[in-house]
Amino acid sequence: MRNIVLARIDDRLIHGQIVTSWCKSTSANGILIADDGLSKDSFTQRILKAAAPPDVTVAIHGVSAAAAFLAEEGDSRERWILLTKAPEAMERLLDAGIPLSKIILGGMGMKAGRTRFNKNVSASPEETACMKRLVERGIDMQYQLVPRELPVNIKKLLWED
Amino acid sequence: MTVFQALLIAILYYLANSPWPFGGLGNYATLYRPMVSGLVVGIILGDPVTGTIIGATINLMYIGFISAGGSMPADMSLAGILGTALAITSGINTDAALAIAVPLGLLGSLVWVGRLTLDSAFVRVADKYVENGKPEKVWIANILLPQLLLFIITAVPCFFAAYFGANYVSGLIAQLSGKFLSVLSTIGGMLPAIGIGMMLLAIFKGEARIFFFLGFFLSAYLGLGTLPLALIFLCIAVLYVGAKGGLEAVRKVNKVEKSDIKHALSKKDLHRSWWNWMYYFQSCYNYERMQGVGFLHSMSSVIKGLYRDDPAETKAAMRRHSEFFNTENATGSAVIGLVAAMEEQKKEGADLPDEAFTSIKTGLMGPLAGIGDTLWQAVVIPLLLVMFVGLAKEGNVAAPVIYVVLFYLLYYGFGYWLLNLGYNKGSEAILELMESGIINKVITAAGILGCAVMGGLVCNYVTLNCAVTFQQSADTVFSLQTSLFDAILPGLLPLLLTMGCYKLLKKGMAAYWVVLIVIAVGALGGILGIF
Repeated sequence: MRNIVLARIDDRLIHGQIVTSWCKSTSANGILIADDGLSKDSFTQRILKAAAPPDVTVAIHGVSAAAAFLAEEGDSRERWILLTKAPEAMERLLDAGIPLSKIILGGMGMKAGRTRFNKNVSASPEETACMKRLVERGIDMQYQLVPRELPVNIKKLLWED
Repeated sequence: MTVFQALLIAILYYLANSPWPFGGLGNYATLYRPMVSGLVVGIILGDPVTGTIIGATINLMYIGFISAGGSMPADMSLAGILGTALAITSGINTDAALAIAVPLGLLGSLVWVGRLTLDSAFVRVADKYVENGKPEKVWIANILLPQLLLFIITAVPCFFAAYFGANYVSGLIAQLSGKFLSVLSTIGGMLPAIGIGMMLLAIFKGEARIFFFLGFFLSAYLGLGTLPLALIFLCIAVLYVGAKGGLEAVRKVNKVEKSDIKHALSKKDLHRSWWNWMYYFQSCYNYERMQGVGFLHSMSSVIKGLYRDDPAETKAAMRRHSEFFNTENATGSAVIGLVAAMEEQKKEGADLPDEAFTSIKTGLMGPLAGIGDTLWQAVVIPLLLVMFVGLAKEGNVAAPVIYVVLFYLLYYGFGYWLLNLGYNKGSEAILELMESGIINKVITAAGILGCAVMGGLVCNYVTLNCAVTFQQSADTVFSLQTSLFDAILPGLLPLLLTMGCYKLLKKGMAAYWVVLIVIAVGALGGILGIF
């Protein structure tokens, strides 16, 4: 099993918070993006690869391929940040046997079908239900933009109404 | 402080957070920074030199602060403006001024959260203009309403704090004993170590680390200031990464050809779109769509230019550009240019569905912000600041002015270049630029330069002296500071303090905890007579 130092849901994927904060605080040397749509989008793949800091490698796979990739025996020095755009991909990775104990909720932009969830996170009813399932199976889910900010446990937000 | 002065200070605090006069991120890099606002506060209160000195001192604390993607660690504009104002009116020394400014900065970050939450209301207003196809009205949702709100939540509390706070603080300071003020100065002298530690978090790694110590030793033993250090290490850094390859990469990016470009937009419409982006991209910043309303506002002159006589297309175009968007201002210019060119092609009949726009915007916004936030907030702004903060701290009022001019030219020059790159050469050129590695070269060079200058900064501007002395014989005193530390390495204690702050931050400790620890250590040491 490869070493995952951070699992984060963030639909902007590799951006300022990741490059300036998370890569530094986790001392990551790899970013794995698990997303079915992106695995066929070569333009965006090239952009994402170019956006990472020079000492960080970027791997982009569909969700099933990402699970297989993570299950491989990696080098002990590998430190991966796992990114997905939405909670479903995290659930599928868990179903595929990838052990994740903590997931950071970073950002999910407003779009059709989604409503405001918390600050810069919007979610559809399906996505909210998925986050509930993740919490129910014992995953520690925290909303946190950058490491220096206090994390907010999303349990309360999920069941408040 | 007079009512009029308090009013001007309140307006200055509003301006620092508004798009005027230097643009959205332009203001954030200039008026928002204590070194610049200190000068303006000084002018308002009739003492520009003291204002500049105090502002520069407060700024040291915030050298390494980065606000990425809607996160804000502290409000340095309130710390700088109110801190300088209170310090000038109460006449306390500069180090003590920093100690009272830092809590203000923490308090001020409430404004940021309030703004991002409340601005969401204006998204509804923007949506109404989208539904009615009225691009000419978007400015009301993007500028008028959110700026009125911002004025109320910034200027009003700041006015009362400045007017009543100044008299209160002056009275308080007059009553306090010398001991209290000297402890406050000790703490203030230590606080810049945290700002430098935060900066090191971004750059202190790999081979660049040795340059930190090199800069420190050059300052400690030869007495070099930060400006000479910066110029010397700028040359060394450029040599180190290789300037030739960088220039070739820029040439290659500029050479990307795109033959099928036929521009239907007038230059005026394109430029207006870009100015609106540079000035108002974050005017209606909100958690729901972040810069979505700003992007729509920027696109509205493109939409007006292309679809003036077509209400249906106007509505459709407005709808596709009112979505969630969030990126960095200057690098985001590339998206403005690219999307404007795509709109032109669509008008000419190219098969570009809404999804094509969405995917290019969402695909680029994150990565461009990653590059832009690093380049400007972690590299250019702090480096330019440290080059001039030394002069400013000596009371040179020209230093903040030169800083503002240099920043503005660099920032708008880079943004304009990217606008045209996106507009004339399309996505291939943007990709070429990102893949060329040139930006990483700039960042590597800046890491070296930054480390060296930070080393100098520690030596020159972090103050911590050991007051412990021993009676050696009847008439000689052995002072730990002068007889031991200064003899071996002047600035040893500031160096240890800075590295300690860096280690705590590196471990993931929140900045305000580090601030509290430093305050506690300083207070304890000051009271016990250790420092």
